[in-house]
Amino acid sequence: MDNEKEKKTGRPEKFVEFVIGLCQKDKGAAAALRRADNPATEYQSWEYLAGFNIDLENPFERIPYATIAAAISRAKAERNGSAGIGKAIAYCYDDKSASDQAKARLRRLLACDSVKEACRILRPLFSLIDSKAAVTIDYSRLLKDLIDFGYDSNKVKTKWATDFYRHAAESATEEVEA
Amino acid sequence: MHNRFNLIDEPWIPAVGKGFASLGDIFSDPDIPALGGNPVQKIALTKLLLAIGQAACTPESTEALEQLDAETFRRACRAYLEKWRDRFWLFGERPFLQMPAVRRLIEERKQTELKAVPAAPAKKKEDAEKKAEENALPRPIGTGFFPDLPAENNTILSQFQLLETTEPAEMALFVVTLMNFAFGGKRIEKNLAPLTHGFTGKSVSAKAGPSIGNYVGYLHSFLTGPTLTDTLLLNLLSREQIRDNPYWKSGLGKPPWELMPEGEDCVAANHLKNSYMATLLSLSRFVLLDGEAIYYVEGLQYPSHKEGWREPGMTISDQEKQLKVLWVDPDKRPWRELPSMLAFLESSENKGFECQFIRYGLTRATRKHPQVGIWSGGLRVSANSGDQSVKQDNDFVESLFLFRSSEIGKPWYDRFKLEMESLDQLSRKVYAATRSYFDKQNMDGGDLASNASGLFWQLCERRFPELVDACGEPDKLPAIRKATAALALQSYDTYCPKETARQIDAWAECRPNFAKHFINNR
Repeated sequence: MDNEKEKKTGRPEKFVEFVIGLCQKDKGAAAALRRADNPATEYQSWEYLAGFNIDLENPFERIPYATIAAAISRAKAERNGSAGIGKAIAYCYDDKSASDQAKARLRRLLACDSVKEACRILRPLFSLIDSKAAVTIDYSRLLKDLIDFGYDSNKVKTKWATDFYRHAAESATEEVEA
Repeated sequence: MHNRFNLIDEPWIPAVGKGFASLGDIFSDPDIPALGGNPVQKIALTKLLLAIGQAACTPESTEALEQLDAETFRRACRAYLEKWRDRFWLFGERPFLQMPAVRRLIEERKQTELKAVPAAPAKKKEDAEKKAEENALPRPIGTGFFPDLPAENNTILSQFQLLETTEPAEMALFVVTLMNFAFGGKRIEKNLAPLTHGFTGKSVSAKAGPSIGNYVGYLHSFLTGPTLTDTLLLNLLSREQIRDNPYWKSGLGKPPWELMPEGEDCVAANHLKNSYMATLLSLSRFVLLDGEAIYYVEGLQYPSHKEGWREPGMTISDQEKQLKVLWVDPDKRPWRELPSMLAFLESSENKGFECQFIRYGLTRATRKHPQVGIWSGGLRVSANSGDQSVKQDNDFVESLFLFRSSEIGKPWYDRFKLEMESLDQLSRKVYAATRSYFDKQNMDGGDLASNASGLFWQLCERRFPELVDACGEPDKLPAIRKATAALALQSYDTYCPKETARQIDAWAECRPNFAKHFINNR
């Protein structure tokens, strides 16, 4: 039972590792995965997703995995980061979580009703974070959140929002101490 | 009129485990644990018993008071009651705490009113005569008359409401309660001549009983011991202690049943007003029980705390320019005032708030009993131009705080004070966080914020005994702190929903972060 549970919790981490490794070794795979978050070209990545035993018929599973795979291959990430999505959004702006634009972005994300919508909103956010924030996203945690989104979206959203504001507070105290 | 219902023999005092007890029972049964009734009745009865105790045996010095044991005290009280037995009749020639002269005043007023009746027409004359007769009748004790009652059309049923009563036992309790806790206002017999010739102090509106105060109601506190006799002994003062107090100019004084005043301004009245006895048993109303009803006239007028009224049960701070008193507040439970009441533990000199009963008796109490308690309570009233009533969220408040005698001391107090301050800080954080949560959404959340911090205090109350114990054993403190921080977050979450995007956003932004709280307190 314990073993099974471990396997279950470990799956998102393993997937992130698998995608990072795959993108570094295989340019073709990386190119296919980059298209995974576009419904029109998504089918090209199915081959690799299926290789990881992902249930392609189930959109609640397929879409989060595809979104994260696309994000990793676009960002050319070399390893899994540590920043939550909330922190990453805040770090895109100079004022961090005090910035109105950051707040608007977060609020849009919090307003999502389904995992499908959340993934659609996340897509442009990834490119924003890539270009502006000096942090790497913790992809495996985000993937886990997206999978959980369907069960308890409220919990996931509060987690994201807390992440957004908590890091702002910490950095503020650091500044004061420095 | 023959004597009836002697308070020394008839059961009328609500006592825990006994139902009703007589004054004789109270001073002969050593096992009665405590008084019953509502908080105001408890205070009034404790004071009556203390008045008997003080009159029967007040030790000269504080050392003698320490030596006084329960059995000697009870014996002295019994002997005293026996000596004054004929003054404890509720009905009769000299009814207990009542003024038979009131009947004469009422009769005089009736005659004056009858004289003023118009001679014609016959209908009008008859009506006016009927009215004069009716005015002269005593009022039933209960709805519409009893000052503790809200208006008759009040739809909320509360503990402080009283049904009409014709039981002598309840009437006795009512008379005793009334003496110190009569509500100020216009519900008295009007247009009466004063009993002291030439007295001009009376107005349409009667002054409030001194123990309720002219404002919203003082908070009263006593020390409590394992039995009722112990409780009385702990709150007994010595003559030395009474003399030390400049506010009681005529010293201990005589209890009113020994020497009833004849009027509002006679020698006996003035002596009583300035004595310690007045704080235990004042005569703020002149009443007379008549059959099953009562006449109710304004009695002696007492000053408020600003003009020098001091009761040993009140908690007062006169360190600053402005005198401060602790009031009864149903929103703020009395246990939250404990750091103020125990402030003298911190240093020997007087700093801030002080309650004399606790200050005088606590060391004695901790030496005598393994566990002592502090009882606090009172009734919150609303005052409107001198007219007091119980309305809206006014209510009785009482709380009993027990602690182990071995722990009490400066180190315990220092920790306890620190913990209470940190609770206070948490509650302020909950308030501020809830308020800013609503501000973020352009709403006014002032009321909800006070509700949230109120909820926090309510949740804490259950953990309070643990906190008191933990202050004696500091190892347990971190667990308590963690628990109270969790309660603070729980209160915040209860009042700040997180359903929509905007709510989640505001919720996360304003949610208090207690990581620092623990670091600072470590």
